[in-house]
Amino acid sequence: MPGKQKQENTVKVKQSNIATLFVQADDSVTLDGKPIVINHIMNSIQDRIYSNPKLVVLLKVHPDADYGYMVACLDELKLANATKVSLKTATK
Amino acid sequence: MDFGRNTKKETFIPTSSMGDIAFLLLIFFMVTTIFREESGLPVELPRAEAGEEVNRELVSNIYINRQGQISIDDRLIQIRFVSDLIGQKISENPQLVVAFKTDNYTDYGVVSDVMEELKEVNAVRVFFNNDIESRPGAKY
Repeated sequence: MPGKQKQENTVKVKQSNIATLFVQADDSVTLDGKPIVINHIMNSIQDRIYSNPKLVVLLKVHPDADYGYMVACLDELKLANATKVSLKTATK
Repeated sequence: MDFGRNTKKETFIPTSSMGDIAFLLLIFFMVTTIFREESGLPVELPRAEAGEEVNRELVSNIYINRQGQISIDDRLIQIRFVSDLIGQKISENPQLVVAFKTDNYTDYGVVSDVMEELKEVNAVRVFFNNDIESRPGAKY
């Protein structure tokens, strides 16, 4: 099949430029290991981007978490104008 | 003398109303024709405030319901066939955008597995469909 070629573009990012948002199996959310309410993500990320414009948000979602929580987090990131977002599936 | 009667009658089909009939038929079919729409699977979309409109002609929908069933083009398919089907569509239309119409309560793992299948065929233009809400995350 013509389209069946894997795209392997890897970009290395400094650890200090990464904010990890993690949706856990029980649907609770943490930002860099600290629990956070979904409604507060926008303000928190906006502040982080203001102090570090190179910030990349790593959205890590547990396979057992509800899809709706992932969308809610993405929504908050979009409202916070976080344009550098990476989506990752956490291992069980 | 020839007393034979002239019995020859001219027969004809009246065609003056043919145009009216053709128009009536045309209007009837125009009014009664229904274009088939993709029905997919019944899903309750997540609600979000931020969103963008996408040109529907370029979109191929992937429905995933709460039970993790996957439907593309109104056909239930197994996860391992997603890459073949979408790969075929992308070779026909390289501008294709894949839209996830996934239930709010579906396990993210299923969505992630489908995305892995899409990555195999370079289907990297992906949208997550949502319903519009005035305040995001209100129910969380």
